[in-house]
Amino acid sequence: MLEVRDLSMVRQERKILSVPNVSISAGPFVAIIGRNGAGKSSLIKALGLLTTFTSSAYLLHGQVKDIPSERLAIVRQYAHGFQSPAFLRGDVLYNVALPLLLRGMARSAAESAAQRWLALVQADKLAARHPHTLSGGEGARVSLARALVTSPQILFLDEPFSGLDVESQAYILRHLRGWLAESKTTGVLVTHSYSEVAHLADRLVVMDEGRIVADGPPSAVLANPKGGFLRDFVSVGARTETLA
Amino acid sequence: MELIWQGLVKAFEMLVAGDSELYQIAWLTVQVTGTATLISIALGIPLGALLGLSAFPGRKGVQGLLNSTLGLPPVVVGLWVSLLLWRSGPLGFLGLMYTPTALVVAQVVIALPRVAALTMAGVMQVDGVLSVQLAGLGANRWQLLWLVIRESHLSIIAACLAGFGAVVAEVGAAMAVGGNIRGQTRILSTAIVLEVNRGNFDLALALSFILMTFSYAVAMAFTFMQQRRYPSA
Repeated sequence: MLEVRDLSMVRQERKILSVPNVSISAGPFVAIIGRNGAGKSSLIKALGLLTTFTSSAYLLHGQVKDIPSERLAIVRQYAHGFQSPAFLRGDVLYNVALPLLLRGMARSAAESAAQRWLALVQADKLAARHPHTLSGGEGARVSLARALVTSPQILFLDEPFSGLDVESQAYILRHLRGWLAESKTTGVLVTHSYSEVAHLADRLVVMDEGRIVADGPPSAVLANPKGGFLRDFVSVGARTETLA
Repeated sequence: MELIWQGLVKAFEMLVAGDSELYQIAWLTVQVTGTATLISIALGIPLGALLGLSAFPGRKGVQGLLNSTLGLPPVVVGLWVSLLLWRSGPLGFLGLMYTPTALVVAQVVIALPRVAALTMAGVMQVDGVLSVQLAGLGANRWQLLWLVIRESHLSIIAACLAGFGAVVAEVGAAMAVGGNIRGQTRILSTAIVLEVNRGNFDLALALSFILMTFSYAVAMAFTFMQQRRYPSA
């Protein structure tokens, strides 16, 4: 579905991304892991066109895209989930309907779609609340409803569940794949969590110093951990599984 | 205290008596400062927001220049606007010198940079994460600008108040470009200066109470707008 060739990002004369080829296929959930500063967030921001980078080709559905002229149209096929989602003034219903309103949908239709998604993430009772009064778990569900309300082709998630309590995290991990299936969306998640990888990922990408150093099914990547970071990740994960 | 009390009583008497000159001065003040404030808000908010959100070479220099206007003395503005509007000046053919329009022009020059500079600071404060997330929600450039302005409403209403405060309080520019001509360009602030110079302190105080009441009413209106909690979007 999405392929970017020779992706490179330089900030303050430091190369923070250097990826010869990266692709996202429709369907399989992708988890991206790596130590802090490995380039995970930069990679999904670049793929989602939320930051500037250079590449030799940006292909969507096999077609080379001219980013400067097609940026908005491409971005509107994606959605993003952030660790600290920014909500705007107005109630939850307005915030969830906002992506549709920005795309020119009539208010009543946008609010109706927002209501439907709030119900799907079991947050319909929050519709009239102001987002600043929501708990972390409620905010995460509302943020996911807002992200999925447009039925995006790809949902980029940048550690959106890391600040949540265990109960909220478990609820989302149980349901996220179902919600993505409902909106026919492919998920791409940046995470530090072994359990998120275990629950969600069909494909695991490991990054180090701006490069992809491993890429494949999680069982294959984690079965043969190369490097200190991956060994630690597997070791902590194994301990977590034992405790569970 | 006696003098202040006398001034307050005089102000009340003048208002009740329907002093036509007082009403004419007060109405002109409302018209001039109101027009100047509205023009400054209409131009200053988009200008400040664009400067706060855009990236272009020399941005910091332009922002520094705009911030420097916060300390611009009104009398200096009056001098420069006078030079432009004077009969022999480049805009002299417009015949605006010593007219209420000249007062509006000078007050816009004073207020607009203040509104723009404080708007710029306001949008820069909320912009950190918001712009990226709004772009991620699918906002185009103009939608993003509007939403960031909307989210910066506390700072922007403060910017509007600062613009209004600058024009309602200034005397130097109004004196220079308006000439404080009775029945034509005399506004409350210049009338107060005139009465102080004449030694009519009770009248000056009376005018000052009226000016302060006007200023308070406008400030309260802005404050209500500022503190309105989460209006329906």
